[in-house]
Amino acid sequence: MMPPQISILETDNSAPGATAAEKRDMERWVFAVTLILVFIMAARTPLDSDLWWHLRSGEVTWTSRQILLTDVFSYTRAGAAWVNHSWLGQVVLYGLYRVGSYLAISACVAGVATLALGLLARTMEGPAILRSFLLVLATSVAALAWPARPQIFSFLLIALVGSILYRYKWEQVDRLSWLIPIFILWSNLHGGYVLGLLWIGMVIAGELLNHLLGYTGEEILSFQKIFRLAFFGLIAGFAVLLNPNGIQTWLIPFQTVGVNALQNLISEWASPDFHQFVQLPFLAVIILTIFCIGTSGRRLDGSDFTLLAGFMALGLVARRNFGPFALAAIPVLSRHLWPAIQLWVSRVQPILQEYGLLRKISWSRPTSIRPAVKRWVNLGVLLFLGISAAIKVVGVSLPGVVERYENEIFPAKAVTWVQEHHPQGTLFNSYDWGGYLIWRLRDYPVFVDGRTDLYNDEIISQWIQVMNARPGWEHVLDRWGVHLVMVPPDWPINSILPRSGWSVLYQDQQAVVYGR
Amino acid sequence: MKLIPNLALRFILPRLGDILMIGILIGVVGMGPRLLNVDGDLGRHLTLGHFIIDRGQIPTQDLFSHTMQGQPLTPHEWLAEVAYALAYRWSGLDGVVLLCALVLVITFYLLYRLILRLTGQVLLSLGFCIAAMAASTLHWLARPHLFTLLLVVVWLWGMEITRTGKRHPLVWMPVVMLIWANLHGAFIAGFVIWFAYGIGAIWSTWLSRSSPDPLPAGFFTTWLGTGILSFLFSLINPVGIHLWGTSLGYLQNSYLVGHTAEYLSPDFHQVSTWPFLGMVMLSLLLLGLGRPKLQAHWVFLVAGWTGLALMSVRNVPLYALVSAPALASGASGWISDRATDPPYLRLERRLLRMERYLLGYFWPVIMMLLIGFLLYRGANLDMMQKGNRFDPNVFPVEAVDWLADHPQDGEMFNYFPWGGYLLYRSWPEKKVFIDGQTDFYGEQLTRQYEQGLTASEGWELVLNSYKVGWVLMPPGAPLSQTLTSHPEWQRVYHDATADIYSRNR
Repeated sequence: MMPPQISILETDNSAPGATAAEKRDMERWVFAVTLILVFIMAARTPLDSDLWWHLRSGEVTWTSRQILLTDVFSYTRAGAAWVNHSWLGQVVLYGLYRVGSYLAISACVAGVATLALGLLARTMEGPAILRSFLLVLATSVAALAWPARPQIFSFLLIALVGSILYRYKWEQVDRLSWLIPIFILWSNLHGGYVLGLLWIGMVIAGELLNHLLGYTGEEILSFQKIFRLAFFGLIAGFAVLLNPNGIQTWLIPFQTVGVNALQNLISEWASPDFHQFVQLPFLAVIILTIFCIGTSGRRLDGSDFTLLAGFMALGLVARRNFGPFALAAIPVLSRHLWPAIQLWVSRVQPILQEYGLLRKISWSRPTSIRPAVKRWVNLGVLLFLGISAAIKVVGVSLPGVVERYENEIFPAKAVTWVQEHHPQGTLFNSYDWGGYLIWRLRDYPVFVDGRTDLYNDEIISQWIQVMNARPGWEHVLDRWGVHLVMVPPDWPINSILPRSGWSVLYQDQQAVVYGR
Repeated sequence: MKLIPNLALRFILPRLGDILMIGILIGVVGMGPRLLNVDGDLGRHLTLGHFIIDRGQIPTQDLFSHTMQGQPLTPHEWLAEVAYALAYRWSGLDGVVLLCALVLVITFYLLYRLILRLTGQVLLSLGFCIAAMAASTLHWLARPHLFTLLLVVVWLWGMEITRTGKRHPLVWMPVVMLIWANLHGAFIAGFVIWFAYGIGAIWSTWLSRSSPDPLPAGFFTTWLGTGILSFLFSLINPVGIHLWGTSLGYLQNSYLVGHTAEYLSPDFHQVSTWPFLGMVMLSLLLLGLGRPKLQAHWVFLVAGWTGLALMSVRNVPLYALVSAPALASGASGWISDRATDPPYLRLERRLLRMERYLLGYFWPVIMMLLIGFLLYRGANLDMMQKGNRFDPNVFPVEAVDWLADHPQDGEMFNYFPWGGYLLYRSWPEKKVFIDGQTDFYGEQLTRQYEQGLTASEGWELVLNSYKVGWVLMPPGAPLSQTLTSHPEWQRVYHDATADIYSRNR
């Protein structure tokens, strides 16, 4: 008996003869399942080292009803002006903390990340199952840059700007006026608004490239449309000034990037290390995209090129840009992966059939399952995954879980000891712990914390000098009148302090506290 | 039509390729001190090369360290070490720099000729050759891997000739592999390229709707034969199949890979990596410019080497050499497709006719002889006029001078990057704790070294267990800081580059 004819190029997995509504329902179900999976992947214990000083800043702003714009947490920069570009994000996070503690923060981070990927899905091509696969791939790339801090809002807003520009270019739907309120909100939530402006700039450059290359097509923006986009981009660039920091808002991204210590000290500002397994998805996307562009037979659109190349370069310079890279690259990959797959399959299928290697199992074989039963099964799967997501987000936020991770990552027990014994003196602390100490040790101002733009190279280089016991470390401690030191036990300073008039006051696996 | 009837003029007038060669020669000689001082392994290679020449035997056991003495050693670079030692015997470190310059000149001239063969466009070939040079300079060091750069281009030539249906690469490519396997451990790159051509051919033949350049009959036979014979020839080396184990085994040790700078991913905060980044970005554009699409093997090579180069910075030069012909082919196809006869292509045709008509090589040979003579006579031809020497600000030159007059008791604990230099200056009288050959020293000893260097808990035990009597370290190293205030040790020598600490007796 001849096997039924099939096509493994079928773009949907619904039954033949299914109505458009049924196909749409199936697509929605696939996306719902994928986004719940993304939520599950994104729900993590909120323990970013910077979360704590953001929470404390949010608390100060919340309780004083005044936006915090001077440093009140350190003794090295006490009273200095601080460009607090994330004040609104801090207030939101603190508000969540007040309402639902760590659970609310975890749920917010996972929800925001999922929402961003939902917007991303809207800008991709190919069948639902392929887009779902790419969403999971995007998650594995971007998840590295989903911290529990205001940066997560930038991730969502980049996706939103990307979605607006996608619709403007590929679907001829003009929502450019939305950019202005988005950028006003953005510049108060987080300093990452500059990535949104870059996105606009790259699309403009890409469309000009399209004209330069003589490309034609409905998706190529006319000069009039490019001008309109540039106009709204310019307005958005000025709109970001509507925040408490005024003109400093423009300068702070450059000041932050200009801190040399960032790239040496803070892993998220360093280039990727592809010997670490978690960073390999980024590399995989680059290789796969190059391969698909080279073999798909589809020309690369100018805007796709500028967005892909630009955000790839940003991601290769600093890991914190993995998220924006995923948002820029995955839609481009989808536009080339699907034609490439169609091309390959159209060649492989006849060969396999010729040699009898292809089992003729149809994806579109009529099913005997009644629609009502199918609907209930689908709903059941969604319900099961929804409950799993809820369990995950609650599970990672349980006080016991948070405390366990806190003890593993931060000097939780050393802080408790200090709170109980109140040793006197100014405290020198590890950079990574600054935020945590700001949150928990409120009577002890810190030497340094994650606000690198506030401390800049001057203070951070002193910190490095002390931690590595480089010549002159004693002068740094003397200059700031330090009488207490709290550092991890594996830094070189630990081999010097005990022979230099310092005694160990407290010690555990995470931290050593020295007193003079 | 003859452009220049005079045969002598055809010799004397330089081609663009000749100008490229002269430019590379002057550039490499001008950066001679950088070639010698950025990496610390040259001293070891020279020492080993001298040993092989003097004794007429290739050592397969360690002779240089007191920590691993007598342990089995894979001499995977012995032939290159002999070449460097011979160059050194001719004219000291000047000779080493000149050898490096010669290798790089031939490498990039062959690359230029390969791109020209693929594209037929002189300016385009020059442009991509210069781009490849810019991307690869970050790893231009006086080390055996320079021979790998040359042989990668030779190998690409062989594979391209194979792809045209000729069979003679079946004879000479295995011989090239025999030399490569004895010159440098990265001979495996040849097999990666070979594999990409095979997969690309399969892809073009069976999986792609249309191939821009159909495969000739007998390609797969020649390709497979070349691979098998090359593999067999690669086994002809002092340790046979173990060479493969050494070359691949190192990559499986995450600790050693993570502690060897050249195996780390590129740091794009360094300006030297930007030409590489530019090439990767350009590859996106050129691969995506539309029809005619590149041949599949080029796509495989570009995608694969992009991944390898992003994994380890030492692969960046290989990426540049492999990608330049691919990207040039893409650009050439796109330019040709744009218009029937644009002015640019007319210019390229005129240049190509000139390039083929002139006989060339006259000026590069004259320049090579002149520079060789000047270096031999002791002229400083580097840009900073420092001369080709080991820099006292980088290596412990004065400390080793002092040691010659004040020998210390016991074994040495040395700063890892100085191991090669110390062998060059002090072997066989003194043996090192460790040097740059981490694939030989292994994880355990490297961890012990790190323990000592950082003065981490147990450092004294490490020094005691190896009967270390004196320590040679940079002044800022944590161990130096620790020893300065340690009652059992005293600083007996100090300069801006190095401290020497000796045990109190």
